[in-house]
Amino acid sequence: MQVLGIALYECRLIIRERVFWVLSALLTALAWVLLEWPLLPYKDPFTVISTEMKFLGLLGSFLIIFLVVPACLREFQTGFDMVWARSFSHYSFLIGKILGTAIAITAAHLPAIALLCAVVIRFFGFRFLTLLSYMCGVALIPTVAITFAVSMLVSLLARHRLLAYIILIMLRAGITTQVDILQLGNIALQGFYTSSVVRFGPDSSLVFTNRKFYALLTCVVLTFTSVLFPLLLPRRTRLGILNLIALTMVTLALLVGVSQEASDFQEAVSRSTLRTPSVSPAPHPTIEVYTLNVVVDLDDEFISGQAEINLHTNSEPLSELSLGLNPGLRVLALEVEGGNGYLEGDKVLFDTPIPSQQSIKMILRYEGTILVSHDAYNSSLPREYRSALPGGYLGQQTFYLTYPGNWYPFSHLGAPANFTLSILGEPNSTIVSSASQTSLEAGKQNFIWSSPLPSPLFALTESNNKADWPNVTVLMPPAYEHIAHDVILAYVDSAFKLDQELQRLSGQPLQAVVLPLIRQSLYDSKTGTLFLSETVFQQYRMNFYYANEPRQSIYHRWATESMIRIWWCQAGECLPTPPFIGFAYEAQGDAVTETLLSYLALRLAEPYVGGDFIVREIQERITIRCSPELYVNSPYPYLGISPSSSLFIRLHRLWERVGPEKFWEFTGIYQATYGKEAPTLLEFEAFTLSATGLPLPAVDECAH
Amino acid sequence: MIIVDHISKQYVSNQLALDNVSLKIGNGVFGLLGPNGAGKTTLMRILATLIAPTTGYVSIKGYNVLTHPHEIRRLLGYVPQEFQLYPHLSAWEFLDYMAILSGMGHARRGRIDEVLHQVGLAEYARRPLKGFSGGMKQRVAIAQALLHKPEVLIVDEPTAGLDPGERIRFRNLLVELGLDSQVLLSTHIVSDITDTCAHLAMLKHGKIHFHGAPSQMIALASQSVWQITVPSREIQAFQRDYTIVSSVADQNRDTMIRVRFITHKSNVPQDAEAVEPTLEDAYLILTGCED
Repeated sequence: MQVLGIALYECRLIIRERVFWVLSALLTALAWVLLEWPLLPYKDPFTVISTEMKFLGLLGSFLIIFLVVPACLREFQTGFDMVWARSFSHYSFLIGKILGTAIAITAAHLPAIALLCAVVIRFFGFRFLTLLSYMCGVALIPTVAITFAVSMLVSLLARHRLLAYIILIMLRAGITTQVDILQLGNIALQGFYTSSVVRFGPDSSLVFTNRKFYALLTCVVLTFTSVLFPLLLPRRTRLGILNLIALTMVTLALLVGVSQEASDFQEAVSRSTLRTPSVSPAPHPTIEVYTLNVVVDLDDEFISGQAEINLHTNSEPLSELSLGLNPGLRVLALEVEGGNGYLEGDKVLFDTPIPSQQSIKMILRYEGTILVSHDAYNSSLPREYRSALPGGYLGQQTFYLTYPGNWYPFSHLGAPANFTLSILGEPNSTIVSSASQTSLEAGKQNFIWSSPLPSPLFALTESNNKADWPNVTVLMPPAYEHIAHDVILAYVDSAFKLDQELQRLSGQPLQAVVLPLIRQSLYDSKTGTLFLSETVFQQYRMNFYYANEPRQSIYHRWATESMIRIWWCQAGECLPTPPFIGFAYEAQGDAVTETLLSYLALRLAEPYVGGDFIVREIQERITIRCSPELYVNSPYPYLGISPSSSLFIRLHRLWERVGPEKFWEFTGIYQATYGKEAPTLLEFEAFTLSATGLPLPAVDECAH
Repeated sequence: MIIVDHISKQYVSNQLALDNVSLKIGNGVFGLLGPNGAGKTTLMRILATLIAPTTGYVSIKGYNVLTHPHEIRRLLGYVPQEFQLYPHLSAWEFLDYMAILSGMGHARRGRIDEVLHQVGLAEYARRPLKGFSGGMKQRVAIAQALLHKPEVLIVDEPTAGLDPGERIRFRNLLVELGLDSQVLLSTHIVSDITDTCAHLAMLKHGKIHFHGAPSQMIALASQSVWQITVPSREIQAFQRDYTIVSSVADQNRDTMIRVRFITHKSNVPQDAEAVEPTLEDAYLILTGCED
């Protein structure tokens, strides 16, 4: 009761100080400014909430120093003898003070959090309050807690307000120079941003290891403060030796925990920053037969496999062959028939080179886990800086294996013709795949494919969020609970159908796919696997004011933009998916190819979005071209005057004149002619005339 | 019983604040008299368990201040010489907080009203302390010391900011409290001691210069206090030769001043007449005249 009473008055004393209200007002103002109200209707809740949490943590932790230090040192000033002459236990006083200050800090954040809650409910709905509280727990609270604990300790040691401010601000500034500004907000070693939970990378365990580290560190600092507290009091204190010993032991135990967590975290970080193993250059032999059996154990995040492969050497003798296995996988046994092969590192070496035009057979057993570079899926990082490791991700809640991937040997030589996958784990996990034979044994699901492997291979998650789908069942990862299942299904639907459609057009399976798995626009640059991006989706929504279009339509629209480029990349130059519709990368000059692909994407989406959607987009493009002033407040006001927008309209006119079949034929010729090098607009006009016999229709004059 | 046995206190700055001080303080109001810097506050703070003596032994009600500070704090009410209140709390809230710190339970609410009434602040109970005058703050400080009905009350210069009416009321309060508990009153205002204390000690330069009843201290000044009427033009010269206690203009003769002064019997001027000494005279003799 005494502790609660002290806490109550400590809180009351802080709340009645002017600095509390100034702090609270500043935090609320910060939250208000970060909301960017004009753009708010177009933003996604992840962006809004994570930005708010990041910056409230960053600036809020600076501000709370000015609240904690005076509160902590209040009774340490001269003139408080009447307090210290009273018979309270110093631990009760300390705990009450910590509790009261913590309540006051929480209260200071309440208006900002209330504002956020109101915004989230108003713009995104009640269900996103869960996300808000989650992000609060992951980002804001640990930051505030560690800052609070450190501020208390420094204040008590400094025993002087100004000195404490200087030390704490210097401490923060020191961290600023050491780590990224966003990490600064959370006093993170590597930043908790290296995880899918807060947008980067698939390894969410990093977040929790990191947060556990800071939670423990906060406990260490607070316990250490309580060990020191009796020694710093402005009154004679008879130290309870047993208490001191107990507290010291707890501090030491926590320190051991902290160092353990730090070491785990560093290990996790180093695992996630693996570099791609080098693959030996040509000559590559040809695969004759490749049979692969893989067992995935979800509980242990473990994969084991056996590969039987028959190779036929080319014109040159073969002396070594790279395995190309993920560094998390190790080879248990290697048998080579037709040569003396042995294993050295990531390579199979042959004592005597295998002569040209000869066959060998290898049987290889391997096991381990799949390690993923934390920057492999970060599309915001330039491709050349990414240490992409193809293969996917294996975790207790989710796994996905991309094709081709480093989860089986010799993936650079080709895919296995016969592939059996067995999954150990909770049988309510379900596969997303095309055309596989499945069977169910006790505690095991078996999937058998025969060549060719499906492009969208599979994505498996453990969750109860089932949604039925013809031929496949999709399970939502927990992170996707907020997104309506039908939206995900619509997206998966378009991805699968586009895959089939583009395979039909190009005559070959797509080598890359789009999977709806991760929040950020994540891209495995080696496999070309592009993951659904909520952020990009929102950018699409903002562009051309699609705000009123159904969510599904925009998913389809974005999916087709991605898939058409992947398809184009297989035969022509690889073009990145634009961050929003209508955007053309400057490097493309007249952006003829990009505009053509974008128009084709719109047409590919037609079965899913409907003809009216196409009419509306074309009309929007015409309007924005002729009345750009109407789009001044658009996030992308320059889009209307870009040459690609005019060309888009002209391509639409051409489609209407020649019809779909002729247009696709025209596209095929264009790909054969300009696949590797984009033409200028004049060249394209000449090409259109020769290929279709019709001039590229002129764009309508604007009626002013 | 408070026992102070040969205690000394030397601060880090090497200043010797108390030098081998010994006292035995029984029930009732005990006065600690001394000029500024005599070591009164140091002694009070040692008794209040805020600082430790460098040497010596101090016990209160049988508890050693070094080994049982927590027990002593339960028995103790302390009004420091200089104090700060929480300006944003009301008087009631402040006392409530102090009562919580003293470990008082729900009964504290009634007790708070009682002490507020005792110090005459009942009608200001809900007003923030930042609006209180110096005297009102002093009364709040006294109230907080009385909250938990202490067996030992230590008050350090408590009447400094009080007006005459408040001072009288406070003295009466101390006497009343002294009936049931020990009250240790530290002051340099002699009249506070005169009116309240049955026993007193006088500290000077960290040493006890007197310990006994006020009447015994007054007796030290007998045949040392005199009165004479001198022309006003001679007062300067008179002041050089004698320690003047007081001087009052003669109501019948404008040019004459009636002077009360201290001097040794052998040095008394002609026409001076002996007067009854007071405690203040004795205090002056013990502090100034001896020097």
